[in-house]
Amino acid sequence: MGVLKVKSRFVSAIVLMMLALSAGCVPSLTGAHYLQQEDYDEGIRSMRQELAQNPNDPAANYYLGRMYMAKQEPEPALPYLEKAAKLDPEDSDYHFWVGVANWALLNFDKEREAYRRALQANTRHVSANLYLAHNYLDRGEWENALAFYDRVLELDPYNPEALYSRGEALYGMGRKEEAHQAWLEFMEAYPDGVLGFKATENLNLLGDYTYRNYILGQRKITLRVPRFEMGETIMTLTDESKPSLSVLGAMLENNRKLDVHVVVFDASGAASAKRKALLIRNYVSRMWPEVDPSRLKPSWFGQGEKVETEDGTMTLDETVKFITVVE
Amino acid sequence: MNSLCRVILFTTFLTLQAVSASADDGLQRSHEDWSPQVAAVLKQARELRFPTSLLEAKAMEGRAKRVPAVRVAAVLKAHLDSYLKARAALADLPGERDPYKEVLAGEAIGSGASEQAVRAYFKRFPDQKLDRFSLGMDMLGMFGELDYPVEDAMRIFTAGFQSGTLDGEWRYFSRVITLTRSRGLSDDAAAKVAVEVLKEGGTVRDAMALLGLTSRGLFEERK
Repeated sequence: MGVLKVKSRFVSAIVLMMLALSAGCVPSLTGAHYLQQEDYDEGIRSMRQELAQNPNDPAANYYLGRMYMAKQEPEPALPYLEKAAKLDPEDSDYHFWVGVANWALLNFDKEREAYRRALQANTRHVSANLYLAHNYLDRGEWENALAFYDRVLELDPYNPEALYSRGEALYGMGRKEEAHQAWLEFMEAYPDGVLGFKATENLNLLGDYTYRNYILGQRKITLRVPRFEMGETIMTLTDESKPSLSVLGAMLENNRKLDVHVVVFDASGAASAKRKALLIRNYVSRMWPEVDPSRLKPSWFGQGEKVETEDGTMTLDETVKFITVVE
Repeated sequence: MNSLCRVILFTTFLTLQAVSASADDGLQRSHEDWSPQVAAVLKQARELRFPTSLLEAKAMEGRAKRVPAVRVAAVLKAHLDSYLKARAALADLPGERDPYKEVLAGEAIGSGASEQAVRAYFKRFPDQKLDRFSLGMDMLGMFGELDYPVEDAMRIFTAGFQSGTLDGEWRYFSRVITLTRSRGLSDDAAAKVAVEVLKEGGTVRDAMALLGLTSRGLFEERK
């Protein structure tokens, strides 16, 4: 381990030396290197040395600010970032980071102004478009937020934050059906993670239970609710249900202390509900042979499930809940 | 007075207060340099037994910016009036009168805090150390600018003081409240989240995320 560390430092030193030789010790190269290596203290020392020799070097000011930002110290970062932006107003990144630092210091007006400057320098700066949209969203300026999220998606069609947040903007404008579609689109692309969890909460409140958030063991997880289709003779799981059940199987395999109740609600009757619960259990244990079927405990109700939505209580005719078995 | 000025002035105030014994003579001497209008307000403040370091810092700032002395004096008088309001509001509270805290209360009133809010704060947190006490009082002033409910403010201070987690980062929490209001969230909801986060030792950014506000990455390379 120690040898590896020494080697890595040696390589790092060689890289820095080469950068210095090849580029005349350009701060933008050394600064980027320290940022990438997450060696912020050394980066700060290096940039300070640069600034001692050339206090008006925009890149040295910028990277010094960035090092402080990375250390979560926006207060000392801001003056350096501002100076970089003043010295080289054509660099959109400099303005962009002035905006981020101002956000961290809760200066939301100045944040907005900085992103606007970044976009004056480069209208295609994805992050400046995105964060400007966020700034509008946080203030409930929905139309402006939506316009900039759409701009982000023109530049970066699968940007997760823009895909998720445009749903919030649409919802804020009262365009609930479009918000619904936006969150579904987001879930198609990013069905898990923090934003997936939030999108699922939002969809559930709108009465769409295609996805549900579950707490399995110690983990909060978003899964697509299994659906079933009737063939000529037998009932099967739909194809889109299978990835979620694979996730469940993997969790059971990785955590041998985890057992799960598989609870099926089916308004068409208890027999159908039972068949669906067993289908899920059998599918998981077949795909994950290490998982003993007894760890999936089926239960069923021959009626729909009552759930809360923003418009009140509604009944889901068919749904599945996974509940951690508590000893 | 904008927030940055407030912080600078307050820092000056604390610094001057820390060396008040030795500084008093020096400040006395500097009074001779003030214009008659400014000197008159400072004299009145001293006669009323208010510490004048903050007023002097303000006067120095005005002088540095070449603001006409009459206007500077008017500003100082407004501050002094706020101090007097604070003193009156706190007059019947038990305990020894602390002129430094009266000045802090006056500044909060000048910023927008109600006398009722200042009284509530003094009653609940009389023994906080000066730096914490002043941070809370500063926040109270900013909450006052927003007409933020006093009870919600007190809940936030209670959680922050009890857990020891209320630090300078929270000074501008009122700006977050401005955002949550524009998003249609209640002041009560904002207070609940702040209390929860302070009890857990979290940051303002944690509170913002819980309030459904957007976040920014402070690390990553972005394009």
